[in-house]
Amino acid sequence: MAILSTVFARLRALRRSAHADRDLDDELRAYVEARADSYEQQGLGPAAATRAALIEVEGIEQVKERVRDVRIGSAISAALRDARSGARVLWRSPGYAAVVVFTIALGIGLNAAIFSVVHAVLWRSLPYPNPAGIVVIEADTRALPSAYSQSGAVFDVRAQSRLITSTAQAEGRDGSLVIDGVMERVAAARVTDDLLPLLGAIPLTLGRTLVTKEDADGIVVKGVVISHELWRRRFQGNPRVIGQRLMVNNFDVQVVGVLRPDFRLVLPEGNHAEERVDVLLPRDFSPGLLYRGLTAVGRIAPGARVTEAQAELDALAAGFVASHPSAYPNGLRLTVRALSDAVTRDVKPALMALIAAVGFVHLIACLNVANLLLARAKTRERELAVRRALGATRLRLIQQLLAENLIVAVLGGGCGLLLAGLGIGVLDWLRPVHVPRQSEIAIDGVVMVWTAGLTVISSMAFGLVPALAFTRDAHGQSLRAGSLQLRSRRLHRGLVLSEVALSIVPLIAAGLMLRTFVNLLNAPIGFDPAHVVTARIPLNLGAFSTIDRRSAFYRDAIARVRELPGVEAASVGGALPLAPVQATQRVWRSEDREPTPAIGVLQSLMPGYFGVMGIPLRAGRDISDDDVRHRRRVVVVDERLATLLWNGEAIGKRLGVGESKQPLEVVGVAGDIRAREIRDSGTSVIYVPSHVYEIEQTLVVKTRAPLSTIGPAIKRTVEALGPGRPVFDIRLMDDIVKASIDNTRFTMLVLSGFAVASLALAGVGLYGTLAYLMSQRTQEFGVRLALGASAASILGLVIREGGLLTGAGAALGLAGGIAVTRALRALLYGVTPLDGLTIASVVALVAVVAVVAVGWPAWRAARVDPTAALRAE
Amino acid sequence: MPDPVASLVKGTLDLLVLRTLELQPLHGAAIAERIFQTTRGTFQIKAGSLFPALHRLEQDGWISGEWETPPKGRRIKSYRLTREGRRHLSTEKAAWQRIVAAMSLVLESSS
Repeated sequence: MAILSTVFARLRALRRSAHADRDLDDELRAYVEARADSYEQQGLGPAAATRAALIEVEGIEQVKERVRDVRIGSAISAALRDARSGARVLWRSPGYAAVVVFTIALGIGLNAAIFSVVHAVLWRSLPYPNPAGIVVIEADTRALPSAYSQSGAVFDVRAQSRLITSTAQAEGRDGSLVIDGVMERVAAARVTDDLLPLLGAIPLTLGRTLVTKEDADGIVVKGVVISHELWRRRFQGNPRVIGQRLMVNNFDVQVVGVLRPDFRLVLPEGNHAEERVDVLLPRDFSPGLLYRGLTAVGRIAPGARVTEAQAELDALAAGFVASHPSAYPNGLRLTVRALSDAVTRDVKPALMALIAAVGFVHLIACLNVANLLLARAKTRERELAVRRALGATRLRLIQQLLAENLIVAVLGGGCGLLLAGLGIGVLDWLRPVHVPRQSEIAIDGVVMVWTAGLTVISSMAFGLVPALAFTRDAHGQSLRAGSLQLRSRRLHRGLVLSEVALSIVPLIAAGLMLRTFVNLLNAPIGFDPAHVVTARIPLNLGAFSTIDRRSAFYRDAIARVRELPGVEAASVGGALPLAPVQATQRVWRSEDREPTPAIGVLQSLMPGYFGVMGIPLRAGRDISDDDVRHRRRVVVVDERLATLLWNGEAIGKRLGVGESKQPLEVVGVAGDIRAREIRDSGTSVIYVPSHVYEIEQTLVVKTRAPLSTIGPAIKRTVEALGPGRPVFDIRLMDDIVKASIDNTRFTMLVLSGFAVASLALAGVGLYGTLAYLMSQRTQEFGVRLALGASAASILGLVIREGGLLTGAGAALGLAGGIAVTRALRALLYGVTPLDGLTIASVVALVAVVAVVAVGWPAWRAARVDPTAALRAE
Repeated sequence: MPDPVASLVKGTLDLLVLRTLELQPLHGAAIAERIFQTTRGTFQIKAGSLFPALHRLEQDGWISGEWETPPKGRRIKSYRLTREGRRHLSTEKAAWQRIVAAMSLVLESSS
């Protein structure tokens, strides 16, 4: 810091100060005049003399420039001198340097890693032109009972809003792609015509954007836009790809356009869209989708603000409710928010928690370094005092001490960046399922600048304390005796106490997240994922054109798989509980004229599904093969819905679902399961036979055989039934459940890492400080022992000191932690921020670390040899 | 005409300036003139070499500049040798004399 500030100060003074420049100017003018005078004396006329003088000078500006260079050059060389002497000092004590550099590297490295995540995910603007104008529009689905059943009475944002100039919808889905007979899974999305223009993705690399009127015929897709990456990979970048045919999701389609290479589809998580989308399918805009929970993307008029758009929509919605009261008995609430906010909403609390925690780690690291520097400055007390007495100014000494710090800080920062690179690798390895813009996380220029800034500021912060403390003495008092002893001891203690206090906060946070994670693992999910193998079996609709053919295929596949050795039971269903994409529908009592709203997760299945998944039937019967053969419109509801709609007497009742006019007959009641996410215990699930709701199905197989043998066997068996029956994505149900809490696991693991780091740093600080303080009191202990004190009393003395420091620090930390961890509430499950068990565990952990950290110095202090100690001086 | 000073080592110019100022404080043009006269025209020091040298010596603390305003005309900056500069000059002088002696021994020895 000293170097930089000196350089900058001189640069400023000389480069910019008009004063210095005027002086130089005057000086040179005087010179030119003097020279001209002497030319005149040699016989030249006045004008010719001045010209000769100017020619001789060879340009006043050039001379000035060279003088300025001299000034700056000497400032830099002074700074370099400081740096060199600092490097020499460090070189002489490599152990100390290594500890300091490592500590700084740890603090800076963790910070840079988390910062690069937060920067990429939260703070960098979205990869679209004018991203601030892009918003999402969400409807409060609970307020709407059955907007479907009253189609026509749907408020259309798109048609009526003035400030929202264009709107589009997009919904991600899995895609299966067949090109030249080779099938692969790709990320697909159904998008309305306006999406690509709205996001500024026009013009495409090749071809045109989607036009639903031309590229679709009802639900039959005819044209698609593909990604740049897919075009390069599967079409070898052939420019004549437009018009080529391929199979997408069993539709025979042709390519109408190729996206730009940098296009990413960044949408809120609820839209299930993958950022690196490979295939875009056409879809019509439908206000109804908005009411089903799918957000719409919009662009607000240039210059308009999100709040203004919100006010406009509020007014429009109110007007609509007034004119169609029966359609919206619960009112209508549409929310507009910036796309960037909507995208990051789910991960923001966790990321903020992580960045806060990493801040604590960094603070502890800084305190540790300050402590080390303080102890070290102590050993140089005499050197500094001598130099002070010989006339070095205080500023000069501080400058030099700070230069030394800057060297370790820069080394630490450099190592920190390496560590951050490693850290990002680890974070990627721990990868949660859905972090928006994950692929953009990297150490880029912004991260570098931030890290450099952090390094400089930290080195300033932790270097200034000892530098000030040890240069204050102007009168050479410390030449006489250790007069600073007392003050610096207090400083040491203060620093260690703060370290212990600071380390408590990440510990509590990690503890709470650990409890949350365990609670999620142990939550009653209502089904038994153990020993269930799943395999997706999307059908080629060309080969299976009727419902009966498809049902027959499922029946055959189940029967064949059941015969495999080691298989106990098999069925098909979809979407599986806790899988990322779930179908939700509005459900209601069909006999009601004014239906009560409820949202239900819809699962489609074949007989035997409940048995394989271990979902208990509480009343009525399972869906039977007879239901499938006769295409009966039957449904099994869960207890939650049975209670909600019919006070538990659901069998034989009729259930309205989604847009369908025909109700379903309730034939059974199943136990409650957590289908959307483990934290969600409030959403009902309804089960219908696969012919009622045709969605891509998944084989579920109960077996104790290992995945590595049963997986290929299932694939072989089903694919052997004939072509058009691909089997893929074979995985354990357990893994699907685990993947559903990946975000929590990620936060928990990273927070735990930080907690361990801060505890270790605090432990090292505690140990180092006590060991140092005790080594300074060796003589005192020697005297005490010589005067008859017992070794036990010395031991007690040290332990009391360590205990007091730890105790006070822990108490302070707990108070702070309780205040701070409230912010974690959104991340927790089944545990409150004031969890007694967590707090007790943290205290116990800190106590254990303290015993170790205090124990060793205490043991050594008690074994001081009085004669040796007294002889030492 | 090539500037002979340009080919001189930096220390030589410094030495010339310090020695010139040892006698009396002078301003830039007078320093150049004095050196020109004393060396009988061997060293004609130009502004582009002189002023950087002056400012460097000033920063090193060997000379110090002061502004003077004569009764008529423009203010001028004149430089004088500091105590440190005087000490530095004497050691440099000694060193220079050793170099000159040594060089003479080499150049004038009959092989």
